[in-house]
Amino acid sequence: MKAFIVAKKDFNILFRSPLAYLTLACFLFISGYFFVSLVAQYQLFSLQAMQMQGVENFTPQEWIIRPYLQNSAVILLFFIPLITMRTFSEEKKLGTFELLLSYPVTEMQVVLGKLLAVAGFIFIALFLNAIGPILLFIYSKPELLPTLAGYGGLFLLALGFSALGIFLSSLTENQIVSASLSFGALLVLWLLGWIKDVVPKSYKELVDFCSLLPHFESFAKGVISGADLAYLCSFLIFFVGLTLLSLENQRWRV
Amino acid sequence: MLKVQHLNLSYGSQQVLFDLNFSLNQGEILGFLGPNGAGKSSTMRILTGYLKPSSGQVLFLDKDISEDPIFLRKHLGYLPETAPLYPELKVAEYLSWVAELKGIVKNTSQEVDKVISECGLSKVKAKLIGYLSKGYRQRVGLAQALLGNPKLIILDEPTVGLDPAQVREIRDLIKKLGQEKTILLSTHILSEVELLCKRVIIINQGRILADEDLENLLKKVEKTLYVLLVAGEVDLEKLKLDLTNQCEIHKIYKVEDGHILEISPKTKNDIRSFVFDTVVKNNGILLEFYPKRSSLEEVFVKMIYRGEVH
Repeated sequence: MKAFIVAKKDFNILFRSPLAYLTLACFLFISGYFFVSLVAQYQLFSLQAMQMQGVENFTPQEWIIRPYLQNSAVILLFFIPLITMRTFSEEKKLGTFELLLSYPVTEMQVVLGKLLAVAGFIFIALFLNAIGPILLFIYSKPELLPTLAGYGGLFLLALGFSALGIFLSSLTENQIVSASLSFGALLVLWLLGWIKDVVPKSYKELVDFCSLLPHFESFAKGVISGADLAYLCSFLIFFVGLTLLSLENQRWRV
Repeated sequence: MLKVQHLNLSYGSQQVLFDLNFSLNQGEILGFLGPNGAGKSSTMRILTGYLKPSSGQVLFLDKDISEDPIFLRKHLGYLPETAPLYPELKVAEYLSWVAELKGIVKNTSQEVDKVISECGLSKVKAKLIGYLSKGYRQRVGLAQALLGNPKLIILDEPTVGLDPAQVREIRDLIKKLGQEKTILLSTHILSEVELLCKRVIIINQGRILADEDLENLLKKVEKTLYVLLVAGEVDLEKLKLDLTNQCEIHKIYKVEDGHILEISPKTKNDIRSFVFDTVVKNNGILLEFYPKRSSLEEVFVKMIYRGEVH
């Protein structure tokens, strides 16, 4: 309950700064661009598909929604650090963090509250992001449940990004440093997926395990895979735990 | 109410607080006095549970605050040094948020209105905190500390950076609060302590130099200095000679309407009638005659720079 009160304040503050709107606008513009080009591509290919028989899986689900979700995930990776960078850094810089902890709340509630506020932002972003697919449902017949599963996965993935960003924000008073660190960390986790064919075989499994986006593949396909769900959830819990540890640790030395 | 036992604090290899021991009693305003960098804010942060001491413990109502921090936080009102607030929120909005967070469920808006009027914030309650002047921000800081009727109020330099009128208002408010609450007030402004506190702790370089009632502390250094202003046709040399029978003369200097003498008794006897008679006998007119109190400032400076009062 207290976590919700903390979240309410963070959410209010977030939406009083131009940053949230700018981030939202950029995210929607870029993902919208991808959506439009995917639809255009689909249209072009559908003309050719009429002449040639036997193109497998030529559905809006496979050709539009799935790549759209994957692209949105990568775009979120770039914008979430901008939202999480202020969570703890700002409070520490202002000194309000000290005051916040003089109220009857636990560190856990504070961390969860901050995560909830970011989750609220992500929810709005994804809802607006889903306008394209919703239009698709009006003019075409994609499948509903796989699309919902895909969005669920995207939400969870974005929460994972946020948990990492919040943790890195708890390490520093400087928002720029916090954002850069989060960018760096998320990019590395993304790029890891690219080198998995290059690394020696014995490391392949480790690299596979660490790279974040492959765990979203199944969701994008519209499949809820238990392993990937567990992976994303533990990623989230791991970084919430690290944040708590970092807050606790700083109170010993400040 | 609050007991501090053998408190040590080190930042890395640098020790900041050395074996602090003191206690704070119910219903008292305790002044925590020290020059900048003496360790006041660090101590405050430990007392609120924000900072963990390297060793030692703090007991609030006989409970160790490191074991049950939420118990302390439920009864604590805290104003940190810079009155940190969220500039994006409006005053009333911020205060009701704090009230919610402090777990005030019943009559939240009434509680908020109460502190708003107590701290004189009615005019600005619809304004964004970011647009407020320093004085108003300080008051908002004070208001959030008062919310939820806390048993213990810790104020870290509450009047720093305010103009004289604002300082007076805040002090009046603290004084009023002190009638029913327990307050720990840290400051480096001496007159504030003299005005507000009964007991004072002087701290320098992380060590407690004095922990006493203000009156006792002042008595310690008081030499009962008297100041006289003598006018008229006086033979100054003769007067001096006569006075030295029972007094020691520290200073003589001429002012517009006569001479000022600063004297102190040689023995413990009351010298007042003797002084009066002597001046009159020498054809002097005694225009002023008053004891000069040794102010807290003197005590403070002596303690900080010489380490001792005697």
